[in-house]
Amino acid sequence: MDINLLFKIAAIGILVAVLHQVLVRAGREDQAMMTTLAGLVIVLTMVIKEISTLFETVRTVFGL
Amino acid sequence: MQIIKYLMLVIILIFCTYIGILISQRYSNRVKDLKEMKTALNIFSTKVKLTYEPIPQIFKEISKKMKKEISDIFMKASSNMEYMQAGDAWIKSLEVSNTNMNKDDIEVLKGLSNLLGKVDIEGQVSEIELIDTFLNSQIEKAEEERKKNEKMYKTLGITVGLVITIILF
Repeated sequence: MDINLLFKIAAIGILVAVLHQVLVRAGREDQAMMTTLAGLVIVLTMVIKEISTLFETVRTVFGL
Repeated sequence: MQIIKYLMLVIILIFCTYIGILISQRYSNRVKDLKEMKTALNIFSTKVKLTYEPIPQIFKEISKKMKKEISDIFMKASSNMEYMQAGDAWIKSLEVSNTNMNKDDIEVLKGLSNLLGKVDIEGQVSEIELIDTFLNSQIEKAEEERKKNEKMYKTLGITVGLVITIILF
């Protein structure tokens, strides 16, 4: 868990918000929705390793 | 190693921005081309009304005054007319042309060919006026499209480049 990951996710979040607004203003709502979803999926793939570590930790802490 | 990575990221960013700018220029170029074609047809109609020059010569003169692609269309049409009918020469040179106009625009311009060199002067002049009106309405539509799309594609290009750069950072 390094700080770079956090910065990357923040930057992608900002850029996806900008893209969403640009596309909505240009009238292309469906494409705006698609790009937001795509950004969400990309961030999830970046984060998934950390989530799996989290579940491992939870499992060991509670001894399950 | 790090330097090569940073260099590649910068190249990807510049590339995406460039693609965005290219796509946005297509819209502004279409407006410019439509306006040039309108001017060229106006010159043609004036010359046909007032002078009695043959059509290939008028085309050559028009092509000297216009800018690149439109000038090519008229030049090719004029040289094609040496061995085929005026209407066919016009159609052929429109087909091999390299402008930014839509297929619809080119279809209507091909419609000119039916009357070119076949009917009398008034017929040709009124046909040109008809096409002039059509070009006006197309120019309006193209201006609207340009206003909507030009800025959007530029911003899109830059943002997508940034997103890809950040993912691969």
